[in-house]
Amino acid sequence: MAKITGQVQMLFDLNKCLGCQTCTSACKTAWTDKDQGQEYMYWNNVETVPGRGYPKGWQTMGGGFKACTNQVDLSAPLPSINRDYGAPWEYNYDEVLTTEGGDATVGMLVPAPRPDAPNDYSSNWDEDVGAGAHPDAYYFYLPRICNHCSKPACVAACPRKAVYKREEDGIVLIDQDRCRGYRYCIKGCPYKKIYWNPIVKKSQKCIFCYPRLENEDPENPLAKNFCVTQCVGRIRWVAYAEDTTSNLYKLVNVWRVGLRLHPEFGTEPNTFYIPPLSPRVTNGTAPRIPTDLLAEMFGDNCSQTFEQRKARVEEVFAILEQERAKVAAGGTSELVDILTSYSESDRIQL
Amino acid sequence: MPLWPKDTLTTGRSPRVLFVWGANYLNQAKGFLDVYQTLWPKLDLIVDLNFRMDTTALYADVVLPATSWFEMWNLNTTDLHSYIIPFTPVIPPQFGSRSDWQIWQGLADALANTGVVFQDSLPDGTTITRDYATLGTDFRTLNTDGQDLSDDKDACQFLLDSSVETNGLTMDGIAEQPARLLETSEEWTSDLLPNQAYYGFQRMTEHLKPLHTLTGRQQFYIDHDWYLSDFREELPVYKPPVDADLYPLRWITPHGRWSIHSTYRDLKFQLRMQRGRPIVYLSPSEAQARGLLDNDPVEVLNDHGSLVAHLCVSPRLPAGMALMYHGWESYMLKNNLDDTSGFKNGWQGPCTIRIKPTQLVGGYAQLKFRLNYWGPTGNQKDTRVQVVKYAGTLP
Amino acid sequence: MSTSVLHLKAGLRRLPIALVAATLIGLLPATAAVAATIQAPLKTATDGLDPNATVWSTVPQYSIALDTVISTAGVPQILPKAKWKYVLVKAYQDGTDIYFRYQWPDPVPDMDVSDTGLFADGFAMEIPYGLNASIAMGNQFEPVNILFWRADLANPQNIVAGGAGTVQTSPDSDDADMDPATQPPVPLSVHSQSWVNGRWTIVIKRPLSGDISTNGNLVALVPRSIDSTKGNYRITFGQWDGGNHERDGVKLVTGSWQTLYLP
Repeated sequence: MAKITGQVQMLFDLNKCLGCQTCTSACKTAWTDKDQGQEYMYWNNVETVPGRGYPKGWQTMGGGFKACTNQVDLSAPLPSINRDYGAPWEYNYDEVLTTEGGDATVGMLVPAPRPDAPNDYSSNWDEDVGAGAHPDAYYFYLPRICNHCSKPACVAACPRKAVYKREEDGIVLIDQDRCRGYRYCIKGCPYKKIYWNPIVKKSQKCIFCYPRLENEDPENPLAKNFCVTQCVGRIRWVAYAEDTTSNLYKLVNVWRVGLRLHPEFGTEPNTFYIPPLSPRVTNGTAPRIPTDLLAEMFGDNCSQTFEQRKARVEEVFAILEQERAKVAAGGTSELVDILTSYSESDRIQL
Repeated sequence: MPLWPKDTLTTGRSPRVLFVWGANYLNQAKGFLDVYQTLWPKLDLIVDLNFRMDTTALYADVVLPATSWFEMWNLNTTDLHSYIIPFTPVIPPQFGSRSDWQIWQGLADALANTGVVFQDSLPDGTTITRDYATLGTDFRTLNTDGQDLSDDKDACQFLLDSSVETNGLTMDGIAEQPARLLETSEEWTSDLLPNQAYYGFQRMTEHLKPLHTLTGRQQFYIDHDWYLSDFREELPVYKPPVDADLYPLRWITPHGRWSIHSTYRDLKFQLRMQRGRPIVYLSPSEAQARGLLDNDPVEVLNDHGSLVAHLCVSPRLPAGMALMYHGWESYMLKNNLDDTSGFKNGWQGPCTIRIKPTQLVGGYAQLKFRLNYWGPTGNQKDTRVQVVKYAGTLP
Repeated sequence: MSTSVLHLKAGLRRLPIALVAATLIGLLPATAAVAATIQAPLKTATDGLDPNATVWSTVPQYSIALDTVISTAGVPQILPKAKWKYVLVKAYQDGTDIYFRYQWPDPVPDMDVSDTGLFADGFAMEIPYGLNASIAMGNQFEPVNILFWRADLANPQNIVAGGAGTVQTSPDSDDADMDPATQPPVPLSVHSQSWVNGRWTIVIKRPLSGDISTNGNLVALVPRSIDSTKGNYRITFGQWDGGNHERDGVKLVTGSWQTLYLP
């Protein structure tokens, strides 16, 4: 692989995500609502954790590099569109909305195919279901895009070099002219962030809104990634990894509150997550979202043990709580200032 | 409480025309089956201004296609914040739609063409002459000195100029950069403080301006007779739920994040990010007690009505509650009544309105009718339902 | 017909693994690479796209053995189950075009790629531009020309390759231009396909000339009767079972070059 001279990164503060799916809608309407075959695709999705996610069960589906090696795991099954991603339901609007009210023959608006087995799934089927038991039930939202990994398994998996990582910014793209539809990349990606387009018969994925990065609008230089600019909760930061002055760099490398999602997959993702704090359980001191669950998901690198990851999650929580306490006591905190994010320019630093 | 038209209950006067604007009234009305069965037959004409074919539009005689927010000049604000927000026409009106302002003008012109002149009486007994011939001109000039406000943007600018909060702002200016209000009038409770978010009651707390209460101070105590003796609510008090519906589950219908009330509730892109059709939530224990599994079709019912949706089992719910996020269009819910009218039951089917008597108190210091501030609300609290497996077939 | 096909497919999927394995082992030794010369005689018939046209009964048939090839690029591959290891080949020319008819047994026709895990059956014929091209997709300086049929494609793809992973489709190929706004390309090669009673029959028809005027890249095929220094061409074949997720290098090919002779 050519040397990457720049690397885009994105950080998500899960304490601020409200699961509104505005990012999903912005991405959907910008990139995947025009071409046939893209209906079921969500290059950006937000899923409820605990939950089966999108596609169903992706966290245990396989792919990535085994045990920090360079051996890409291609044993993963290929997810099915209707069964695992969720059928992109169509509706009989014309039948229902052009019929005069009061007519006994008025149809009912129904999705096709029906969301019954085996089509009882969607990108957000497990939304707000959660786990545990009332009043200590818990869940949180996990927004996901392509991680534009530093060691992308999709690139390693493609025998055609159709999947490539751009030298200038590390964005991982699929050359639609080179793609022959072999789908090794889908097997290889452990985050299942590459999608089969059955109409054009090629694989497609998140492009990190590179046209918006390349063609900067001088009147609106912050008009970058749609999922970032439209984020209602202001949970996302973007910057180049090399920019040590960026807030993202400070959060990841100085304050060390950004963790990688499933770093054991070995792909060195360039997205980071601040794990979600939660209230204490009723009559107890444990956080309502079990730290074990978070440690199973988040860490720094592929070689950490579960105990090391758990310690890191707890360390992040301690840093967040300590800095919040400073502010609550009338003091100031650079960390809290960054997380508060007073303006777009505090978050969009590409 | 004013009751209008005057003497409705004694004279037998009955509504003839219903104009619905900026609302999906039929779908969203609590006790809406009553609305449909009682009000609709009385009406000669139902007109709906709408940019969607929603439930109300389907049951209107005339639907006037309106522009949505990105096809017109308009203004938006609320007293819950201190900003004035313009709508701008990003695209021209689509499919022959018109802005609200143009629709009302067109109606005014149509009425003017009738040339009708008649004497009318106001609620206070004053008699006035209504001359429709000048209605179109009156509409376009409002109270100005002959200024033509037929254009949407001009009308918006007129509003800006006419309000102390916005006099000095221009439509072009706020389209370029949304602006904070310039000052707050006497009706507000706080000054606009530079570099500070607006918060209520600053004039009372910092400048000791009396509150609009009987005492001029903050007061919890209300010594109105009804509060004192009839309902014992002179001070805030806990009252147990009313056992009017003898069903086991409390029916909760919160605002959802997937729609603005019913707007966008039926949108394909939104539904694809849910479960594709209406769902109702139960706790695992309540589902188990009923032999229900996740995604089972269920009927939610009580004496007021019922609906059919699909079950979502979630441990975040306490036992004893059934929850459905609001705003589902009636045509998304199967009709479960033997209803020969063809009318579908809606998400408000199980709800009725229980008017809280103390909210009828008026004319007593701060307890004074003001729309959206004080008056009887559509109170659906204490509605209870049963949830059972739906045995019928669904399309 | 499609219903019965699907039914058959479901049934075959449940074959005991032991039976499949036995079939595999039984076939393995029978496929030693023996080069054949495929004669493509001159005929007047122009209805060769019909696999049942009478002209085909007048053309010699060759059974070409196919071996298993494991792909390059360090990608671990699934082995083809190799339930069949040959293709029956017939060819003829009409003075302008040349027709190739290929037949092989396949109990399950795979034509659907509408889901992520679905792959279609494929077949390819490869002819080098020069004399020294590698049989494995050519190489950088000695490219090869491939006509690639896949059961889900409208037309065979016209391909140039200079080594594994270098496949490029010609502009005349069906999916070379995905922009629906532009005029669909006119394919240089056309085909017919049918799956009947557990057997694929496909016919690929292409111009002898290579038709360079339409930006094609077909190797020109000149009969010996036209130019006494021409007439012999190298040719080889590849075959994919979509139901076994075969694509890319996971395929059956001939172990060595065969000869195509145009008298």
